[in-house]
Amino acid sequence: MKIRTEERDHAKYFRNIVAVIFLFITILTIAQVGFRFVLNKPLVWSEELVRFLLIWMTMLGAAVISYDDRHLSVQSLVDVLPSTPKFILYTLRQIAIVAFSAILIATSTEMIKISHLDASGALHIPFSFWRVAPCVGAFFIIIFTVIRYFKDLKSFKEGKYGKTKEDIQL
Amino acid sequence: MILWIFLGLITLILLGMPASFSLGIVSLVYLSINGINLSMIAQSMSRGVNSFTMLAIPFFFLAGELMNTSGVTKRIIAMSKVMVGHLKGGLAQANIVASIIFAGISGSATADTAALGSVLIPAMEKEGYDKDFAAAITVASSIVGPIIPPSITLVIYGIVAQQPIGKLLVAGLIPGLLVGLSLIIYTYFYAKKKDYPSHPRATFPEVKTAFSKGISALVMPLIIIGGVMSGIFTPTESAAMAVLYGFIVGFFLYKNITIHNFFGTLKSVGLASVNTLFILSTATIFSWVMTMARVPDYVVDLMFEISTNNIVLTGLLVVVLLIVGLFMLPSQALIVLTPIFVPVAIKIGIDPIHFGIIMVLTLVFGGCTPPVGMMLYVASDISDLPFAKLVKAILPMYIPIVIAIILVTFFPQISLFLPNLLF
Repeated sequence: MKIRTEERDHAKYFRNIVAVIFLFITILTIAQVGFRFVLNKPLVWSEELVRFLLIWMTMLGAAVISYDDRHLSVQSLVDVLPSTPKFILYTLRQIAIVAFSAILIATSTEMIKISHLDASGALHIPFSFWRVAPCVGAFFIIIFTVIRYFKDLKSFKEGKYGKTKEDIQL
Repeated sequence: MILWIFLGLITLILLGMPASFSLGIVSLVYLSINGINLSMIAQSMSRGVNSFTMLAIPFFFLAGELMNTSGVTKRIIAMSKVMVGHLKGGLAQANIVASIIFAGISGSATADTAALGSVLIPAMEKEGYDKDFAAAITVASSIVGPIIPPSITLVIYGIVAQQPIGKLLVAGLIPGLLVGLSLIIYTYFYAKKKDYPSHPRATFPEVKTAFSKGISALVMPLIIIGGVMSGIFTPTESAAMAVLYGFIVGFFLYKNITIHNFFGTLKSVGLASVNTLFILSTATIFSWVMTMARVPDYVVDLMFEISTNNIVLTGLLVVVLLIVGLFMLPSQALIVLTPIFVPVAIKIGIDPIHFGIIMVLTLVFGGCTPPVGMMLYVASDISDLPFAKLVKAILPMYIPIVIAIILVTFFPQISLFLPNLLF
């Protein structure tokens, strides 16, 4: 996990989207409690909407984390490697992530089409809108993983790869 | 085949592949080899996070961050000092008590180390403590963070093991206090040996001032535990109310939170939570694969071939968890191992709530052991202390923690007394 503050942030808008979704989720959940206890009028739709938003926040957020290269991973063994084998391993890792994401998109289309015929109970959101979220997330994971890779390739060629300050993961 | 699944998973994780993708890739390979239709992957992933309970994870993260931004850390330390500062090694004791109180507002051990360490390590050094001891006790005491409610790791366990979150959170309280107590006893004798200073006993006005300033930190765990225990809120709702409370304290009371830094906190906490949620999402495919491959049944059979004695098997589970904790982060290990180990634990008569506490405690202990111990890296960074020196200083502190783990493991009432009493 590295801090890369000096470069252009391609995922800036996605970060804001994640924050806005998170804000909505928080307000809706607090409102749900308020409506039930203060107004004595439980909201029947809020929990469903919150779950729907959580799926989208997770999948879009996963793409941002791919850009930041901050997915939770064990780096202690990899960190002891010299720069070149470490970068080769990193290259293979990024290829595997892109391949997994591409397979996820390619294999899920049919099921998403079928699930469009059915909808959720309270808000009548078609189930395809729920199930397409991992595919949209995977699409942006591919894009951000590739952008990240070319940025790191540049650093590697300049002899700077792996020399950034270690991040602190809370 | 089962062996290959695990070898593949462990290899990928150790080669630096993110846990989320490691779980997804291994599952994908298994499904492909067995000719199973892959079209369910996206559905499994969205189902994995389609849970209201899961929201407790980002809410507990956010509540802790808001309280931290509010500047509550120094108030907690002041409160801890008036409570135990008069004991031998007063500031070290205050460090442990502060960790216990901080655990009530934050579910993260690393956040505890970072927040308290940055204030207490230099302060302890100034009072004549060895720097390596100051850093080591900060790390060791931080492990109560994910055990005392609110606990993000216990929420993860509850989701994966399908156990009631409220019961789990309450069950963590006494074991967390026990770990704190074991460290207080250790520190008392160590401080006597090293002749570390103690503060004069606090006067009543000093106690009153410290508590009136720090009371805001004590209210948050009351909202969470009280809300869940009374049945007024679900665990997720109590976490959301803790967020509301954290915002009110930071924005209106201490005025350290602005709209601008609140949005920044939402971004950072949102992404930190997504990191865990995304692993849970891909873990759903992995759980599906394990169920199909009948892995839990296989592990149960394997364990019973080794021994049929429940105490031996329980000890074996703890040893395996301690070893895994050396190499994996608690959240990763919980997601991978919970579906496998819980059936084993149930088979040998361990209550799943009790087993959740054992799992979290042993895996979190890995956070203060090399090579992956995240809290060690944080404390080493804050104190500017070489990593090896810090590891050497913390080694003796493993003894009281391991004693606490053994007690929690073999005396289920330590974990189950409160949930059995209250639910």
